[in-house]
Amino acid sequence: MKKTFLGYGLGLRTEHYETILDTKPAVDWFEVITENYLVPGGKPHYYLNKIRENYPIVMHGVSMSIGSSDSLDWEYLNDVKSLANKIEPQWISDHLCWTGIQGKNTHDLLPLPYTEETIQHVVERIIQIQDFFKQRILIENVSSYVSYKESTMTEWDFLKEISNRADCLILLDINNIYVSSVNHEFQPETYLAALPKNRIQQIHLAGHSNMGDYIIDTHDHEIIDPVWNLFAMALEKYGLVSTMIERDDNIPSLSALISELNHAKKIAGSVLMETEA
Amino acid sequence: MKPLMNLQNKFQSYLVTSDGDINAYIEETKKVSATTRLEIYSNAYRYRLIEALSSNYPILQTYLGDELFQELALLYIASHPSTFKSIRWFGDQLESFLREQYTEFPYLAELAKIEWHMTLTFDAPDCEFINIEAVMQIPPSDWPMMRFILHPSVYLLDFQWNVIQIWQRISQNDDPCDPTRYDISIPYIFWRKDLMNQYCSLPQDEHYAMTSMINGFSFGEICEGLCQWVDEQDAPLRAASLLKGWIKSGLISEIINNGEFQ
Repeated sequence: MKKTFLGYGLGLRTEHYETILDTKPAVDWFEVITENYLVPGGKPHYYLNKIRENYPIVMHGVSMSIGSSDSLDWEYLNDVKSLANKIEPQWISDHLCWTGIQGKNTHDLLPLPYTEETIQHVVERIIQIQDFFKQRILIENVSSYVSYKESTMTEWDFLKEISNRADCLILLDINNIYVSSVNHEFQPETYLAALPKNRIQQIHLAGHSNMGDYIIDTHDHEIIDPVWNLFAMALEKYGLVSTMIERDDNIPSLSALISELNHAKKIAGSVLMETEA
Repeated sequence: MKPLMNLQNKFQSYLVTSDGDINAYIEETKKVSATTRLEIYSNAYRYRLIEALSSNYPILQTYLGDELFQELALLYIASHPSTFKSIRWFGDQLESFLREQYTEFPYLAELAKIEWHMTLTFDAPDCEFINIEAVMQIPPSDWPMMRFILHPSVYLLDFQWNVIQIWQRISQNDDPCDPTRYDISIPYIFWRKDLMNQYCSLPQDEHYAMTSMINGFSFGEICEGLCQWVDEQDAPLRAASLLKGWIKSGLISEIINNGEFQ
């Protein structure tokens, strides 16, 4: 399984559209939130079309609801496929979670119970989605604040098993591992060690809000040192992986985000040198 | 998948209606109780949807103030759980909700109507619009049969209250004027040109012509109808003048001439 390395990217946010077009910043690629472009036309499509002339794009969805007990929403999947046909992303990702049932959408990435039954359900759905898209998708680990009594395995075993059985790729969110490790009191290194190296296609980095006894994944702060350390550990285990920073709130200037991205590059450079030495 | 469906059903009921016995399914630690853990989700659920309404209705929020807006948002969220894949569409029923639930303040629904249609105009499909040269190529003898297709971003809206003025003043960070009801409703047109939303009020005859155009009337039929406002011999000139204005404003996407698209 050959991995594509895109370099270091950022989440494309409306606040930065003009700056990106005007200054063509040194960012290797951009990740777009799929649902933001599932509108008929106007500014979002105009800017995305302009930006994709100069940068590779990946599509990242928030509403596929892979783990929902509802039937797959083929109308939505068809919309995603149509968008992908237009913008030709490097890949398509969504989350290992559910977002709603009975036709409702909570617009949150809700955790699943880690059981064999859930694995079978999710694997079957990912296979159907991949057949429909005619490509493998990436599934991302979500941060969580609850775990269910009915779970019979760890989150990392659940993720590993699903990616292996569905033959899909993994978008590994390092911050989410850190957030969940605090919330559920596990060692994040154990999580990293368990995952299949050849399936890690992309890494997310982000900041969060520390509430004392627990952490909330808010994407509105700079990345903290323990997450950077975990990122370095991930690269030691997996080698170079396409990496990007997600910022969804309290969005700073593009140059501030690029500085943070340069820090990721620096860490990756150091890890790579040590690995080769 | 009965156990998964059962769990998801209970979780979603807890989020949407605050009902259900989901606590029994949740692990807790010494540091953080199951209730606290679940509240992170229920708070985030409401916060995210309030934020979506705030993003679609910023002027209404300023007009009401944060506290009243939040009160309205929570009532709306409770009665209209999202069924959308993209949160951008959440709030599509706010105008009718305000009309039904806030009957003492009818202008609030009209303020919401402006803001929702602004978003529809903003996100409307991309489409070319025709220029004057395209019309000049049509032989004068064919003009009476011409029919028009409007740009998909065009919305024609009537207002019984001075909400456009309220909207304008708040947009410019001025204090809003008092709501005033008109004797007769005022028609406005909203559309998008060069990625920017536009709007203007319409005089009666232009409103008639525009409505006729939307309803598929031909140029000749529109000329006949304009005789309510101008002399018969002046009607074609008035209609041509209106058509020129619409084309310059980027309102016309296509002209159908004897069934042929221009």
